[in-house]
Amino acid sequence: MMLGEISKKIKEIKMVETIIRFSMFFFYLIFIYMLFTLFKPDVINIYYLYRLILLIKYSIIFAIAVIIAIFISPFYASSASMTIGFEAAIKTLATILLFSPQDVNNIINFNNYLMSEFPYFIYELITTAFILICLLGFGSVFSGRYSYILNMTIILILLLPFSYVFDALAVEIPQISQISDIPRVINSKFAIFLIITFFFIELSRASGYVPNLLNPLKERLIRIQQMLRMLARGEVKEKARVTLQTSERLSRISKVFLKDAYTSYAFIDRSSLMYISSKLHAFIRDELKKNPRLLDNVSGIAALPSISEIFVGFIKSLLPKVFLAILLALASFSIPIFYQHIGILEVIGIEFSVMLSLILAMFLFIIVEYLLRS
Amino acid sequence: MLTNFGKAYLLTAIACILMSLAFYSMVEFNNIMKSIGVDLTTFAPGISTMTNFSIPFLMFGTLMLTSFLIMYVHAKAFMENPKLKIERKIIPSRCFAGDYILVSVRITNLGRARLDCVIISDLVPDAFEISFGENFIMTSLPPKKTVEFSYILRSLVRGEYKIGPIVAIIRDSAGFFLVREQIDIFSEVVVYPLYEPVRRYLLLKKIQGGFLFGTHKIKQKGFGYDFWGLREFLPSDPIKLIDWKASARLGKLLVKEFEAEKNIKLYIVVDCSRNMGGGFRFRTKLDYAIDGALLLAHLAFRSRDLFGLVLFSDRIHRFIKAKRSRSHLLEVIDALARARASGLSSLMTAFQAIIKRDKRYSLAIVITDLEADPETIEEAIKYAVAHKLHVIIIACLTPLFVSDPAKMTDVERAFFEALYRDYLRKRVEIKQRINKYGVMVFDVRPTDIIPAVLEAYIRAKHIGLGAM
Repeated sequence: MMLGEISKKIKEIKMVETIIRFSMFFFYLIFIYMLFTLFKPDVINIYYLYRLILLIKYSIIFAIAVIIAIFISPFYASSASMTIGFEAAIKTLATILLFSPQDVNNIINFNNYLMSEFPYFIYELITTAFILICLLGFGSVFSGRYSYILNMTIILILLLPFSYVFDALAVEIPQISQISDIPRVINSKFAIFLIITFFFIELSRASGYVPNLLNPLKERLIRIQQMLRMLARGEVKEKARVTLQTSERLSRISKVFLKDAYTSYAFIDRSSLMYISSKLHAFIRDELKKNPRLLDNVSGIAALPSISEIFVGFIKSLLPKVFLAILLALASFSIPIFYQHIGILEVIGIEFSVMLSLILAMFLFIIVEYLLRS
Repeated sequence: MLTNFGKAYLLTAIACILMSLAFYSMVEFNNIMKSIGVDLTTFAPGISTMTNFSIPFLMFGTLMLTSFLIMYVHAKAFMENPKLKIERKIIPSRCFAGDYILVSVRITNLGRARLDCVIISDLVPDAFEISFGENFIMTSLPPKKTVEFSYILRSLVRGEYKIGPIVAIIRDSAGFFLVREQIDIFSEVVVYPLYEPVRRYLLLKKIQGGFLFGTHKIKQKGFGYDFWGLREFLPSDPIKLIDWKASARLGKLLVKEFEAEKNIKLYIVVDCSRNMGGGFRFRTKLDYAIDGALLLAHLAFRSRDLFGLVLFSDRIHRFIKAKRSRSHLLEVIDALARARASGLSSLMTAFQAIIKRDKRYSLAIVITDLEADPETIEEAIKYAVAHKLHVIIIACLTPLFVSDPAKMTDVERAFFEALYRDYLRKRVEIKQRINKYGVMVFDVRPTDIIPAVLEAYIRAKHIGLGAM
């Protein structure tokens, strides 16, 4: 009963998902490339990750050794005996865990090690955050989960200023004194990166819509397919029925039972699969005569929007939002620049205040209109 | 309603804007610290030029916030008051327990905007099992478009039910906003009692050529087809009754006599008191009683007897006067399907109702648990007998209907048996009181309520109780 049609639809949905994922992956690669090139060379390096792991390892061993030293030394013991106990604990642990003499030395002089490690620590965190961003973006592209993108954005907006605070040369960023008009803002690598990030966020959101809509339908189709397969077991072919009825092995009464089961009124055990599926099968067969589209309606194929319809809807909803967002942002930049040209106020201050007031107005509108009311 | 995604997005946008403000403040903070002799630039060199981040971050935050605002306006304009037309069709709306029902739901978007994501859930009472398909669907609805989905339900237990309401969840394409709307569309479904005992009876009848063959005849002389005997001709006898062969053989005029064929008038009286509601989920004493009543109604209909129905507790839930037609049978089945347990048991109420509305001789087969006060039961029987209402009682043995000894531990079973013995002792006392008036009482367990009903009916027919 239409199993082939369902399989075909499932394949179609899978194909659409693959296309969307592939296109998003392409955009993801651009985003990651831009982020990587935003940092100066050597800021992001796997070597820092190794150092970070080493630092964590030393910290754990150090903490364990301190705890052991506290337990094995009596509270009235002198500091010298405490130090001996601490070193003994470290050496024992180092022997068990096959540490090198350099490692043991680093853990014993953990304070010095920490101080020497501090300059690298910033890069270690940047590298870790970068890897996290990559993984979250990748996860979002392949699972369609928008929460990953939002987590990624939060990490990103924390990472950029953090890396700049501790190393002013880590990120390539335009000087505020150079920002006097829109082209200069947009021409900077940093601004382009932020616009690409915004597009990546918006595209992920919009492209997530298609799998989010199609996935439940696909899962529904798979469930219906399983049901149909189960139901097919209750389907008795005409030939089989005749054989059973004419079989001498069957008593007269059991023949009637079986015949009844096939024609939807079973006297076999009511909970048996044969009873349920044969009866259901007979019911579906009868209803199909009245409504040939019944199985389409039950499986959800009838409610499945066409792929072109989804794409048109997707583009229709995405494009106006992105264009309007860009237009509004440009307008908020243009106002202070206009003021600057007529020479009223200093550009940065007025830009900032006008943009901020616009944003605060929007924010207040949302708060009053929506959040407080709900 | 703003979803968690929406909140997270909005917070990210706000965080960007607030951070751009914070960058300005950091520069000021550094200046203050410098004035008191602490130079933060030694370990955080970028702090003095953090304002460089302000404009890009403000731009990024503005883009996100604007995008959010556009989505908000779109959601408010099109999602808040969606114009959805939802219809539900049920085929059939009346069925027997264990049968299947096809439910079809049609959703039309009457609005002008496309609804990106609509989740429609049709709520189903737990007395139904979804056998095929699903009672929800997720789809997109362009303007003026109709989407239909169906599912098949299996009715588990008799009763009247309402399928619905329908819950529509409308989300925007991003999943930031969500509108949940409950549409109070209800469809009534009446599930008749389990028809299986009746089907079994029909099957047996088909195989054995009718096991109730001949039971519809009353053993008394009259005009029927079965031979009763011979007697001497009387002048008032019609000539056609003379048995000429026998007369020639014996040399005197003899006439043939036949068995009379009389039908009975039966009232099926079902106790619907609160006590009858006890038992297992979907299988209470009342459900068993209704199975028995359904079989009785069917037997009476096939035997061309008049049959009526009384559902009672301390009031009359439903009284259907004895008649004989197919539509009447359906009326009785419908009443049985809608029976609900409530109130206290009072046999007197039922008997008074029958005697008041139908003064001619009739038979009442009562299905009850005999758990009312024995005095009042005896009073009721006395009243019925005095008014020439024949009564047969089918009495449920409650402990066996409300617990399953097979699933009990040894200790529980011992305790149960002690209670059951005590219960039986009381039952014997009540039966003795009732039997004084010539009323038959059949004690029944869940498994033998149908045979007991059959036996009661056959006996009544043989004796001619309630014969018209």
